[in-house]
Amino acid sequence: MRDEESFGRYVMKAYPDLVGRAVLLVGDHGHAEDLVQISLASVYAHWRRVREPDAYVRTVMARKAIGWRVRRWHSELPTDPLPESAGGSDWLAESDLSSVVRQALLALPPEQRAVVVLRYFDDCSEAEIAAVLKCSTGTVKSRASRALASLRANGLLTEEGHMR
Amino acid sequence: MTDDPFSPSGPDSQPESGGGTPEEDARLRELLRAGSEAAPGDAFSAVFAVRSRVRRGRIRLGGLTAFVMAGLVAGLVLVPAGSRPSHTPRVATGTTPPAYQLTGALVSFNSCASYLSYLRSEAMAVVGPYGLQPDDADDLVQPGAMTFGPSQAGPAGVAMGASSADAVNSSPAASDNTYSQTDDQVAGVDEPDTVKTNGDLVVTLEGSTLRVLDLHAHVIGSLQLSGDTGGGFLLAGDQVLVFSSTSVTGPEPLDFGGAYSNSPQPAASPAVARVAVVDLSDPSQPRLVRTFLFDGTIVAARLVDGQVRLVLQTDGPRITFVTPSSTGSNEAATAANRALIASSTLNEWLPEWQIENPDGSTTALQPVASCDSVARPQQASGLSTVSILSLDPASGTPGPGLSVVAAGDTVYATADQLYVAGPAGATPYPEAGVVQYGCCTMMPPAGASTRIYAFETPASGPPLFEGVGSVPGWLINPYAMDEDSNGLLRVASTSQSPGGTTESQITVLSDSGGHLAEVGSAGDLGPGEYIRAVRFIGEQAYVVTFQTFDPLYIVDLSNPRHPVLAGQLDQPGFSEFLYPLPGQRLLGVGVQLTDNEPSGLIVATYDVSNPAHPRRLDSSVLASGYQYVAQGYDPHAFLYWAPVDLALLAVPSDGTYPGSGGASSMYTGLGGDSSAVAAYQISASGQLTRTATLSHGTDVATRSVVIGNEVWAVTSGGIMTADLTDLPATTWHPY
Repeated sequence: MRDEESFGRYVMKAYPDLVGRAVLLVGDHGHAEDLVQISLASVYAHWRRVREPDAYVRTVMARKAIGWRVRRWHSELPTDPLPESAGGSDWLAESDLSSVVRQALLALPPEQRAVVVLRYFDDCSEAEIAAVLKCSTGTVKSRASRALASLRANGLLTEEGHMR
Repeated sequence: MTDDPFSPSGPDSQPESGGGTPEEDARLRELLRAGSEAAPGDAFSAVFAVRSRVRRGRIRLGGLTAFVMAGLVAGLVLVPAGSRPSHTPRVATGTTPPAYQLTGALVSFNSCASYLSYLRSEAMAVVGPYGLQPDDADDLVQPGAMTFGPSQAGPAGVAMGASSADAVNSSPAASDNTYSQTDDQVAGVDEPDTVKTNGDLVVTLEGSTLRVLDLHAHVIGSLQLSGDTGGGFLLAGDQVLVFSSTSVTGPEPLDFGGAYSNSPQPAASPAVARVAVVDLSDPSQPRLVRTFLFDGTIVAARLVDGQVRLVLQTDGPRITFVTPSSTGSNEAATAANRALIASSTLNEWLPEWQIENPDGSTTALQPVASCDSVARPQQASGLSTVSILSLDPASGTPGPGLSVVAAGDTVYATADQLYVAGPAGATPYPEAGVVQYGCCTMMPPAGASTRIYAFETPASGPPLFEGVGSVPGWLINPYAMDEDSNGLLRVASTSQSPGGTTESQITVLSDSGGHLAEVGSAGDLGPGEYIRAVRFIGEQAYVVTFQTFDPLYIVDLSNPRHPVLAGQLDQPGFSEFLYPLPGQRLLGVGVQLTDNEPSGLIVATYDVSNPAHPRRLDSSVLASGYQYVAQGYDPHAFLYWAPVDLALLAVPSDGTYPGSGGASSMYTGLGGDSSAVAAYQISASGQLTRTATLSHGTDVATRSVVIGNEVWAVTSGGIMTADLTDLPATTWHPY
């Protein structure tokens, strides 16, 4: 019961941050909460052995996020990377910029997206990313490079760049 | 974030190449910050959502049930296979043909060969580069390795019925002491807990230390056990059975604080449940007799008349699959794993048990159930196996078991019946159309249903299949099931329509020839809400649903074919725990809401004598700023001592965040300590008076029992006692 409680309080504390990260990984708020909760449920299974819950849950999230599209896209429109209607009214207040960023990220393959988030949001090293994503550092590099190229092409990486 | 282990810390920490220009990198960092500025989400609901998901076992199911097709439960037909004496056990052993051949919703395997070929083909349909885990599964998570806590073991609660004397045991032995156990859902069906007494001794389990205390709270004997004993224990005569989870064979703790290396992740080894038998015939020298090891995890254990009934779930085969990291490619890994399944053997699939002797030696593995005592649902339900078996604490051999190839996570047991509920044809998150948003993400998949397997558990002899049925949606906990005096099973569940709307209902099931058929139901409780607490008392069901308000519904089940909503009470906040008080009153423990934010723990009493007009009698804030209702997921944290109308509630907080490095007091009302047992005197009119707060520094108070004239608060560091006639004075007895 102590586990349950300390876990509960961890969730209370970490949830907003985790949802913020998840939004980058899966694109919209509804999916993000789902991803976070599924990941937290996994973490809970090992709660008393988890020493760094933030790191653990981020790893789980990154891995699950990659499989996310594979599963979701079967039933969703592959041509519509932003499930616009999914969010709900509380999510209308998002800023234009964050929406643009998320849209650009969603245009990336999920493996590249995960690398970008781990690298530029979590400041992970390539070796760390490789460990999280269970791939080689060479793969991390090539994914990062391709992701950057796409984002560059979208004009996201220049101040004037605007997606439309 | 200072505790971020990913933060740059070494020569390897800066991206070297594959990135953009420094300007681009900086801009991308900035953009990602902006993009992550999500609406914060409802963390409060998330806690419940996650907890629900854990309880539903969805996380552990992974790929194991990913291929399950939803389906209706057809009738179960028992076909007599030849003549037989009427008392012939239905469980056959060895090559003896089964006395019954099950067809319909449950199908028996008539041979080990058919069992093996069925599981191989089911597994072959889903095997991938990571074995039977989904491709994206984090292999940090071991299937079936859920923390074995009280909520998994099946929360215990109280004796039903208005007769509060049910909760009061008197010692059958020489002692004429009055004492309590912690409460059980069903009187006479004892549930594992961390404190037990037989009236002469008190036994406690704190961490992995089993202690024997005399009635003056002096430790007279103790035994250090191995493993994670989070499953609690049962006390059967002189024998203690301690239930452990799987950490002995599970992956090592993962230290994300250190540097990542490219070394392979520890392989997830199959879960093993441990049942340690400790002999207390010399209480000063508790002695480990033997430890039973079972493949899987123990979903629940119950003690009835000296016999222990175990419900075991075993997830998938004991096969060590390869992963792409060892084969180099997904295709090669998938091929290798397919080959492993094709060549898998019976003993990799059939759940097995063995005994570990105190000297470390082990006996040969034996199947929990023979092949012809295994059934599968007509509609495939994954590769997990639920097994029911009995265990005589004095015996070195479990009784013959019965298995169903299905998942089960919620167990309700009476003296002679046992019900196992699990997802029916439900696919685990996130396969199905489960994505619901915002507040309601805790909802189960639209259209999901729960399958309930009924077993007869006779006082002697092996368990028998009785039937299978299903209800819409899912169950919150074992209290969502209750058998009435005529043997009808009443079930409370929350379901979700394809449109995403939730509702809760009571379904009444009757066993008709192996099929638990619905005979009546009352639906439409709490549209858009979900069940937070439920309690069946006699012919009434009390159901709390919650979204932002707390309707307490009373459903009249006096005509089980036509249950009707008799009345409801709306109030802010919600109860997570309900308890029947004498005099047609209810006690609720719940969360107080202030401006829609949880603001504290609250205890309340209700008059339900007129079901059409339930009313709140009194309420008291148990702890401000606190919002985890321990009793909701761990009913053993509550005790009602009827002789003096005293309610005892443990607030088992350790007052810390993980990783915060120390206690931080987040709430008030517990006498300055972070954890306590609060005692409330309840008057005839339902008035609540806080008469004592039993606590000791930072020791975590988890349980309370009454021994003679004393209340005992069982804490992590010792026992705090208080004389019932001299509250609130307390005496501390350190371990």
